[in-house]
Amino acid sequence: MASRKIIQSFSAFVCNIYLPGFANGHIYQGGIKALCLPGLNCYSCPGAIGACPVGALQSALSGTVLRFPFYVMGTFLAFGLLFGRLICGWLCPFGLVQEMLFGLPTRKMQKSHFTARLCSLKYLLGIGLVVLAPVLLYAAQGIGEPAFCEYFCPAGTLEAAVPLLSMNDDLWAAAGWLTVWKFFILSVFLVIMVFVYRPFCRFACPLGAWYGLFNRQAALGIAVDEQRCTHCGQCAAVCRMDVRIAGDPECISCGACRPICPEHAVYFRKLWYGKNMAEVNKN
Amino acid sequence: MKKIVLILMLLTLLITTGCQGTEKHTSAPASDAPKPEAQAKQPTENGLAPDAKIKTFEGTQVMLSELSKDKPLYLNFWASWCPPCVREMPHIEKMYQKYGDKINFAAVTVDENIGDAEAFTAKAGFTMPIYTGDAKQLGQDYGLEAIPVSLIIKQGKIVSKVVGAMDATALEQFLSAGLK
Repeated sequence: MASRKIIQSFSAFVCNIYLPGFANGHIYQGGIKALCLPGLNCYSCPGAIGACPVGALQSALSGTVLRFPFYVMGTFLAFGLLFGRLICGWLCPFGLVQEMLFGLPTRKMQKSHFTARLCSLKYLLGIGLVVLAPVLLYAAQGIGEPAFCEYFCPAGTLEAAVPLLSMNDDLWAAAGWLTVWKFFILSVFLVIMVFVYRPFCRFACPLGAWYGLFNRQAALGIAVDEQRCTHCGQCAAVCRMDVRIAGDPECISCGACRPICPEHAVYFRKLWYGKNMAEVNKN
Repeated sequence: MKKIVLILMLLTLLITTGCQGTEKHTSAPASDAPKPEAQAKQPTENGLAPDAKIKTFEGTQVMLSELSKDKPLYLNFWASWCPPCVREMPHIEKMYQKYGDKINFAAVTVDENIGDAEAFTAKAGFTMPIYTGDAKQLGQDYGLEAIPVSLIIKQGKIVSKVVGAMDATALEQFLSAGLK
């Protein structure tokens, strides 16, 4: 779907539109940096004009003072209720990176029961590294740490560490084993991305896991007209994600299944059309 | 749809009345320990330390240039949300106890919420001079892409700089640049 690629590219460009940052290795710190962007786009990327929601949550839960992250949770809920995983399919810069690498002409690993089971991992990472680890570390040592960002997130390594380390001698001098570890994780993901469709989104992204919880209730995104659906499974068969049916928590609303559905039951929710978009699709 | 609109309105209210911005920091925590070759780097081309007004939690103001006039200045940028910074602070306190008469110490927090830094330092019982300042301006002037950052400033000139937390041994070695 060419229009999706255009929107993904435009979103990645807008999210990182502070171009001088890529030239001088300095992070944009203007007023709008406090706002969360919808997708996984590292705060410390030199071009980033906003914050990553996961990073913001980690940051709010870290430090020597533990407090409930009202702002970040409100943003999480707002994005989830408005878009669900439409964000993953259309707006997330790291999703675009994964799709570009998957586009390289090699043999591809198809989805299976194994990959479907592996999808649960992102929920464990979300609960364990994003939420519990900072709080438990706070309880144990008096300061919470952004464990997901610090020890795992390959998006942060790619979008922030790579450009900053290449341009900032002070940071390069400070790099050590943790940097080696982060680059190892990034390398593993980058290689897998060539052979497996969106492996980070499917198996490891806590943001996608969260947004997926809202897929059925979100104001926008793919939905299925239950009255038309015969549960033939063709939407799941054509989908590269591990969906059981279009619009479930694994669905990133890319829309690839929409023209495939023989009953025209798959449709994009639109704010102003109400529920009968399946009828619109058919016509 | 009405339900969703209602929920979104409530969320918008929640967001707009939310207690704080997203990420607390203007710089990322430098988690790795610095390598020895990190030392003796200069952030400005001419090595001059950008001057700035800093103040204690009680409000007493001082210029950075004044602090490096008569004695070398050990300047540290830190934040209470930064784990490596927090772990480094006791070592700085130890060095202050040892070299406080020969070197001026200034631990400048870049916390946006100064109360967090104040609560942390009060709880830890630090005696070294701790300051606040215009975090954004300091971040730009000193190129604080990551913290903690330690500098030795002599008569307005930066003679040594390290990004990342140091242990007591590394810190003592670093301070030797100020004692020469």
